[in-house]
Amino acid sequence: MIRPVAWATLFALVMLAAAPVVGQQADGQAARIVIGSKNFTESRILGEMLALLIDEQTDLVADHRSGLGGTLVCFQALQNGEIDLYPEYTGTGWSIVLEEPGRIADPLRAFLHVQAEYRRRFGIEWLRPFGINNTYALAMREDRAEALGVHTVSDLRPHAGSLRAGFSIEFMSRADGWPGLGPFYELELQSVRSLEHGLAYEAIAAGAIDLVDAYSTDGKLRRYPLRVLDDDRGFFPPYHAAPIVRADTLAAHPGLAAVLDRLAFRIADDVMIGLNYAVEEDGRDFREVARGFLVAEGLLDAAPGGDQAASRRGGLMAFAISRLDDTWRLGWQHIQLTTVAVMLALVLAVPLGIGLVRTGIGERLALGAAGVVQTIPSLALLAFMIAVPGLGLSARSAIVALFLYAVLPILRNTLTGLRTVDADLVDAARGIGLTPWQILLRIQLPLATPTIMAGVRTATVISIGVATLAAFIGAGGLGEPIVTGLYLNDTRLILSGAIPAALLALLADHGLGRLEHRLTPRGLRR
Amino acid sequence: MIALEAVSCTFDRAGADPVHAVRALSLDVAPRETLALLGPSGCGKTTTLRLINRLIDPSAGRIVVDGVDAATVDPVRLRRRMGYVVQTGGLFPHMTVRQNIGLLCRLEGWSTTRTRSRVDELLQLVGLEARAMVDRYPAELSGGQRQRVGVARALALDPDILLLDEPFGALDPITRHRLQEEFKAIERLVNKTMVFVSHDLEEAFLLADRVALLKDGRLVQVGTPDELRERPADSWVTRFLTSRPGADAPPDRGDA
Repeated sequence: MIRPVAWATLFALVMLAAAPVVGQQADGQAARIVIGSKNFTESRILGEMLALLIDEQTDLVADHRSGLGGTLVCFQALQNGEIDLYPEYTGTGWSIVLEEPGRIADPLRAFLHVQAEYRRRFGIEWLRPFGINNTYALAMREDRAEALGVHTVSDLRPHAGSLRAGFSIEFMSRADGWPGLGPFYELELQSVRSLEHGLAYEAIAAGAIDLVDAYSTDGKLRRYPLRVLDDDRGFFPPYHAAPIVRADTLAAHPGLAAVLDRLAFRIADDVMIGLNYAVEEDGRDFREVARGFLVAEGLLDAAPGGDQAASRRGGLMAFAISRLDDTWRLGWQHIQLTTVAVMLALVLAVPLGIGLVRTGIGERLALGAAGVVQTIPSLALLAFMIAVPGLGLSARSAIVALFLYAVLPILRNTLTGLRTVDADLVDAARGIGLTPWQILLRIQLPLATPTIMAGVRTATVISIGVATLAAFIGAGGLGEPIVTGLYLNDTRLILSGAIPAALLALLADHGLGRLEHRLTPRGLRR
Repeated sequence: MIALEAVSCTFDRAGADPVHAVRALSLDVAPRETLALLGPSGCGKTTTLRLINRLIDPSAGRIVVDGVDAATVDPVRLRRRMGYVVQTGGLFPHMTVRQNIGLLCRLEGWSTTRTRSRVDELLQLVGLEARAMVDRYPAELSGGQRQRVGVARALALDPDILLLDEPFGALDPITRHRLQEEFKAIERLVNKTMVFVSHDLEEAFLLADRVALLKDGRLVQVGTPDELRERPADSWVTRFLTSRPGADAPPDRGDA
């Protein structure tokens, strides 16, 4: 006999878990402005600045969704109205979003072009730029550059044959990166390889390579003794940052543009380097750094609530304890995301599996479709979800993506479980006069339960892993500190998400293993 | 009680000639009679049994049960009027002895109490001690015990007809002989119409009132053990009856 009580209990648990996730909308009375920012330090600091200005200088409430997974995610969210604004770069708008084929060097023309095109095509407004130009640059170790007498990119040419470069993967693949730069300056280097950006800095500091690509406002430029080479022939396109806002948001809140414009041309490149450095190297809090700048600029009153700078420096234990509340909260979100997704998959895959076995049609198709979903990279699937109407930048998108991943293991095991029930038993059941439904419910399903549960177990462990990516679309979970830690190069922060996530996976595996044993009919246990 | 009227059963095989498992078979089973279907592997005896409770439908001919064409009866209702025992017992491994025997009673909506007392009664009938057995799972039983539970399960709804497919075929010779003797006693006690499949001459002659001898899907001869011995229809029957006196042929599962 299948144990209806057990299933009912599980179902009730799911609903309980689902309730807060689904119901996290309505927030209060004051109108909310949702700010997005991309998953790197500078974008997040700019996002915090915008949030602080809105919170303290308007009667609106700012909701900052930080660390969204890149331009595509942010832009899609903005278009769907999931967020109202985010800081964007002119060069990014030019090449990634508008996909303009030509190169542009003139900053003003670039700005006016993206402004006009965004307005015309998307109903999105570019407000006045912050002042910083975070474009690409080439950097060389100070002592090496001094020895070779290199100040500009053109100066590299006589030495090109003896120079080894380590460029970021992105720089290696973009037309405004190395593929364009090399021919433009006629550089033929001794070797060029792609490296993770953080590692490239370590490599050049150690003398393993001679050249790296850098962002011109990168905080690391202050940490390592690097000389940024002047782009003397003007190859790199301008990347001026500015807030971009939905036109309907601006129309609904007439004072908003003026408040945001207070940041226009207030941030110089070297100031931005300092702010990035403060977060990445001094381990200070984003909001605190943003506030410090705004106060210094006279845009905000001095910080209320004192200095809660729970610096990220200090012992690992102390750090873990200081993050305990966050970890519980994120862990709980993580559990909700995976539980809801796996339960939905269970509710779909088991009946589907039963139907496929009974009718014998569409099985290959269903397994094929579920298999194809498995091959889609998780991040791509998440990015796709936010474009789906009604999902957007929410836990719902993450749940749907996780659900799609969870379907295959459960479906496959349901099919296997039902198929491997001894044919003689089914025959005996028919022979003594059981109806097809009675055979299914009383013989096949109970006997298949251990196999189905093993599928649920696999699906859950996979989902706990994939759910760490939910942070990329602002859906929370234990991925949040991992994502933040990754772009801050902060191992402790990464571990503070990764260790609980791993523990959660182990715990789920163990717990479901016990449940599997309990649901195994006693007569079958070994 | 049961009448097979020119029944044929042909299985189509993809890319091969169809198999004529049963050919124009006519046979009557009288009320309260025990009939054995006897014959070598592949003679169609198991198929014939499965035709009676409509696990297979005939390609031609008619099967009449209790005066009614079986094809017009809901197969589930039909099967619940016929107990069915298979070679390995066919017990459901996730159910206890009590649940196995009482399953059909519960499905018929009997109360727990009524089912309980029925299960106890049946266990006693098949010679098992209820208290020691009811809560065991099939994996915890010996082969002989499993077969007895299988018989008890088949009798749960007190059907008029009992169909047995090589009920003792999978047992060791000693257990088999003991069970055959006991079954003979049960047979007299419950006094039902029984059809059982056997490849074992001695078993068939011991348990059956009449024996139907099958070969290649055709009925060769049907009669009491004495009639078969004294007046064999042809030389094949003579050879069949004399060639394997009580031989322990291997269990016969493959005859479709």
